[in-house]
Amino acid sequence: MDEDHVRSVIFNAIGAASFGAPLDPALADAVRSGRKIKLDDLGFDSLAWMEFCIAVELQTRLELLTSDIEAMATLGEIEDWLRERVGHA
Amino acid sequence: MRDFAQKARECSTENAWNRLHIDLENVLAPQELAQLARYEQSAGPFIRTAKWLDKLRRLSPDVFDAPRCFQAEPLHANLTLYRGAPYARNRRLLFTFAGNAGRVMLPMPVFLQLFDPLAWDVLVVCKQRGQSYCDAALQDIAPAAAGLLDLAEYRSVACLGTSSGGFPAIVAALRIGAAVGVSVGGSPPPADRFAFPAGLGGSGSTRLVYVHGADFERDGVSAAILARHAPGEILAVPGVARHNVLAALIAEGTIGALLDSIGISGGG
Repeated sequence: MDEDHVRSVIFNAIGAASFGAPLDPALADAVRSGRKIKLDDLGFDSLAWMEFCIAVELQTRLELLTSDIEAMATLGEIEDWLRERVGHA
Repeated sequence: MRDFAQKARECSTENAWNRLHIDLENVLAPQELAQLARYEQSAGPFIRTAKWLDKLRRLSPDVFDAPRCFQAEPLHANLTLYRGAPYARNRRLLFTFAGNAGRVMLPMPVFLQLFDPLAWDVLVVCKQRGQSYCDAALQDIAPAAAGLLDLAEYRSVACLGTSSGGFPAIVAALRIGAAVGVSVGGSPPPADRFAFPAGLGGSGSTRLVYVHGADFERDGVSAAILARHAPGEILAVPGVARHNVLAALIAEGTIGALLDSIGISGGG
């Protein structure tokens, strides 16, 4: 999974967690360019994080759980989690 | 219940279970959830479902102990009527507009449990994924609903919307002459995609209320913007520092007081 694919997975998952609402353009740009984004800044509640994890699993068959995310602080850590598991799905 | 058993067999990961539970939460009436809980106890154990049911029980024990009887009736791709007791007189219609998550800030059975089916029917507008309340079809949903239901059979109509459903609830309340229109945590629509109808604030007979958590600044700003378009009362709920005001109040056991204060008393 290359950088673009990882970011695409995360971008799509953020879209799912936002329930199809248009993403803030600045956030969309930051995700696409890989800038550091704090998870708290996404403003997701527990339901949104469930949708995020479901979307990641549907795209990658990797089972990212909300309990995994609780230990993370930035989107970059989720990217790392995905990269580390490439090829193991 | 056969549908549930079939879908449960297909769930092989925690996320798949979450998908199933979220989808159920968004549509089940209270007595259907209570029935599912009985099924889980008799045909289970479905461990993850039992945990999910426990979470809902903590939120609203009455859903399981004395579930309200509403019958779901799809009217349209975006409209579901949860019909109470059709023989009761002096009934009211609660016309609700769900937020982006497809719910009125609460799981549907928990929300419906707040209302007496002898006094209320509850109509839910729910966007399909990717739809916007700015789409033409949804901007006209209030007149469409008025064409599908005989609003005159109701003693009164109240409109309530949450999050992205807040402003459409206000607009609908004014368009159909509802007694009250309530936006909870509502946000203004993008100006380039939605124009507030001219003279929107002109009706003096519809009470408008904008509810938000007093300690959640973003929603306070949004309420003020909405109230400039359609003047009404701004109700900042003390001690709530989150967007989901209804979840905060149901956890505190004070949601009934809020409903009473905005003219949507659960008992009618």
